[in-house]
Amino acid sequence: MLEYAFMQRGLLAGLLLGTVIPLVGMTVVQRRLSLIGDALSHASLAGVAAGLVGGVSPVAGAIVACLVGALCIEGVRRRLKEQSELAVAVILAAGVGAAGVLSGFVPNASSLNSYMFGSILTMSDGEVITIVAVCAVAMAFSVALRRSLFLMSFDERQARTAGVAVSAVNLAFMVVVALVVAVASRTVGSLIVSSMMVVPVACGLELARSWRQACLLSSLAGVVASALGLVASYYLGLRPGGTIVLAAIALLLLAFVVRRLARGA
Amino acid sequence: MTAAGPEAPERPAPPVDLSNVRFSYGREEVLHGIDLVVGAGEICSVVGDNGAGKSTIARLAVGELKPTAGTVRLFGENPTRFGRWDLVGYVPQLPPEAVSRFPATALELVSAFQSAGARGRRPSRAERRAQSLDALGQVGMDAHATRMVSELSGGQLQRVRLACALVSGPELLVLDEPTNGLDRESREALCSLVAAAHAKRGLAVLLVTHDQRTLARLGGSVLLVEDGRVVRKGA
Repeated sequence: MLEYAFMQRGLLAGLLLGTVIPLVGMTVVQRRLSLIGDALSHASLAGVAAGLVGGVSPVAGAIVACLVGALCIEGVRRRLKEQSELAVAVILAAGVGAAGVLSGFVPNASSLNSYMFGSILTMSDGEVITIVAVCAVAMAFSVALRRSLFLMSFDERQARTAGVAVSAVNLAFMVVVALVVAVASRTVGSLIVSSMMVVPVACGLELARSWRQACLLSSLAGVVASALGLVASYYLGLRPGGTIVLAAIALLLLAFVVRRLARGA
Repeated sequence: MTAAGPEAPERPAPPVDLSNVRFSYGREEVLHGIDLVVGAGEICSVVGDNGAGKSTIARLAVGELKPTAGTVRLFGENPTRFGRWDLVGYVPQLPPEAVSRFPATALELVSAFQSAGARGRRPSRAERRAQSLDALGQVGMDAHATRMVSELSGGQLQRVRLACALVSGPELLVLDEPTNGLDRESREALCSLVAAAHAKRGLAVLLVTHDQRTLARLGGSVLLVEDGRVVRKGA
């Protein structure tokens, strides 16, 4: 399997995203913003469709669309704090609407399909480099600002009085989430990336005995699910994105069993 | 010609100073000209019924809200531009489920507050751990340091939150309904801890409460707020 260059590229991208998406997802889940993953993934699909229609890189289109979507959500969140969920839902609806309309103009429907559910067969070196760069930025951000993200996950108000520049960190975090979602549309698929933001985190939360453990176990679950999903998709001829998510759900079920056994012991 | 005498030492600004503060949620004005000063080492309690505007006063004092008129000063500075958050310990109201489901240990939580607000050089990990354990010890929770906060009782949780507020060595403690939902024993324990911190460190305390028993334990000056106005001041 690893003798093929496309599998090497796919595994590298899959494992990096498997590490980084749950790490970002931990903050997203704790801040009860899980719907943001869905909203941005739909925005990324609209960007992909726009890229395919316009004859430019679909990943570049996804990045632009996700950044615009993220900035809109953050803008509304700042002005209407009580209505932040509504802002996310509106961006989600706008993404679905735009993707639906633009998909009618995409010359080759299967190319759009590959971004919806993921594909590693046609990933170029340039796309892999983009994924590596975005994952490096997201990882550096998550590590450097871990205390700020931890405190903001606990309570934004107390984070501010603990010296955290909440507005700036929020904005930077939304940009990082947007970039991760956009580049993940290539391997995991636009419609599935939000699941990778939540399911491995649920695995980590099920077994962890501290925040640090929860972060590490979430990323570990993401890596294992990505590896299992990509290998299974190769040998069984399945879509990689869906297979990765099903592998993550299998890990979550395993985590439930392990926790139950640990409680009984 | 008169010789200039020695200049009198400048008095430090009070930790909290609200002057003729008004605040509106949308078009509805909920505070109508509040004056409140909490001096260094003083305890000031704001009491009143639900909806009187008590918590809004605490939120204005720490810059969480901006007044629509009047001035708010935190240690002499506009709280929106305040930079010395290590001087302030804040325990706002939080829904119990927001705290109880948080996947962190008591030590992780206190340590994060310590490192984010510390003045001067950033303490090492070992120093942060020692200071965090010390803060947990002050509230009698050091034996529970490695327990998940989701496993703590309501009273224990509030003590951990008090440790979070105390860990940076603040000079002002702002407590918004700290005894809400606590049983008598936990309430008295929390009051004793706040009183001890005040006595030991000379902390200024701004307490928002509707609980007369909390008030009786802590003493200090009292502001009775009704419909966004101070209707009585006393001790």
